[in-house]
Amino acid sequence: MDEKQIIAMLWNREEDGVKALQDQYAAKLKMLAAHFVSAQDAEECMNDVLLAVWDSIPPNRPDNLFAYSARICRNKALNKIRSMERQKRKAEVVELSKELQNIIPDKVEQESLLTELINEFLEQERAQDRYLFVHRYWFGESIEELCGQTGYGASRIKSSLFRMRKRLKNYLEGRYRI
Amino acid sequence: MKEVNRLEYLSGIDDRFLTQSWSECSSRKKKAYFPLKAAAVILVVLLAMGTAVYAAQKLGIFMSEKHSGDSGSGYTVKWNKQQIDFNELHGQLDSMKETIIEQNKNMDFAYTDEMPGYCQKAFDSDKKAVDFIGYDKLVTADWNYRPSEISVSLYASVRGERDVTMDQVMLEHKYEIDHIRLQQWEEIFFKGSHLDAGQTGVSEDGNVEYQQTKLKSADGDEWLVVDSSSRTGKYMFYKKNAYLTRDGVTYSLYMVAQDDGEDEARTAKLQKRQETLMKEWVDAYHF
Repeated sequence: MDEKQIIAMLWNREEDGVKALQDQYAAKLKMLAAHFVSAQDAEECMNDVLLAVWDSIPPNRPDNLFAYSARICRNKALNKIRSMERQKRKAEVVELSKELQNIIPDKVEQESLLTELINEFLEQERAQDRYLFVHRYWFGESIEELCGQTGYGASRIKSSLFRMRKRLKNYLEGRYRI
Repeated sequence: MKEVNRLEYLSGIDDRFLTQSWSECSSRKKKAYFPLKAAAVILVVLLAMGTAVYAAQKLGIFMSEKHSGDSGSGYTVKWNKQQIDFNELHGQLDSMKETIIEQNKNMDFAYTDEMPGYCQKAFDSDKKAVDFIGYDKLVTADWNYRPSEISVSLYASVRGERDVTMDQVMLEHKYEIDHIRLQQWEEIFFKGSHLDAGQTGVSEDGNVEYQQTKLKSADGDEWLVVDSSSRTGKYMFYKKNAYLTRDGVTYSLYMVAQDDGEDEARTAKLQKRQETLMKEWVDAYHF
């Protein structure tokens, strides 16, 4: 079933729309959440996402259902991390954040401007590098997972991410004044 | 909390960047070598199709494919792969090789800003960077614009303590000229390299049209130029890529300018400036 059909079902308040969403994306959403929280919490996040999508369409009518759902899922997972004690947070989350240290600030005054600049930066980057960046830092995927998806070696992926972080830092310093 | 904050500030990444697949992004393949016979066949086909003269460049650089559509767009540029023997270089890259070996020994892979198999050094002049690499046939743009950044990056694959394969050296220049961002890469791939050589390309979301042309420099060298434009938010991004290979070096020039499209005359002026700047750039290479 394509996304437009699922969105139409949700828009018309047909419960089969939620089932279709679950069939189509539950596994991917759960995997996304599991990059940030435990498997059990990831299952919970995924269920919360289905409910949130059902509650929010309508009035929202997203252009891209996967991106819409994934965004809700990621936010829920990050909120869950907030509520955890520090020592219970996944080491991978800490590692991801450390990689972004000195590039993305801890506290931002103009969040919408930062988002705009990051999107502008990504637009200008080569598609392969952009993919690695988004999948590492938005989807939280491990280097090993990225190796499996791209066929690149770990060294190459790490160096691409390293260079991209440097370029992002330079870009933001020139425009955002971190 | 800080950890979560940094990750949360990426939440607004555009939908289309989230849904682009690797196959849409990547036009690199593991084996890029083109046997002479296959290349000759491609040349004949391209000529028969009346496409641009890249095929006539014998085994020069040429666009082997391009596609545009709502599900994604992209192109592939290929050339006859050349790999250089690392021993042909007489600069100081060995010092970077030693740095890579030391980094590998001492690295805490979990928490570090350093990368295994990678070393970068900044320079304040072209001459110093080129001398550092020490490849006689390497040429850089000789023009009046001053780069904001010059760097040499060395990539190597490390196994064990000292078993190092040199993969690639890249000289990069960055400029910003008249609100246009430029990046210039000169890349040398070494024999035995684990990295791809002989092919590069672009892949993007959405329906992006690519125009390919030849651009002849003042010295008569023909560059392959690919133009495209795309929109993110309120801005249009106008991009130009130029490619040439010579004596084992791959030259890639990239420029991008953004414009909100509210003033047609200003947009036209910007695009014209990109054209003249690209011509200045290729004219600045004297092989």
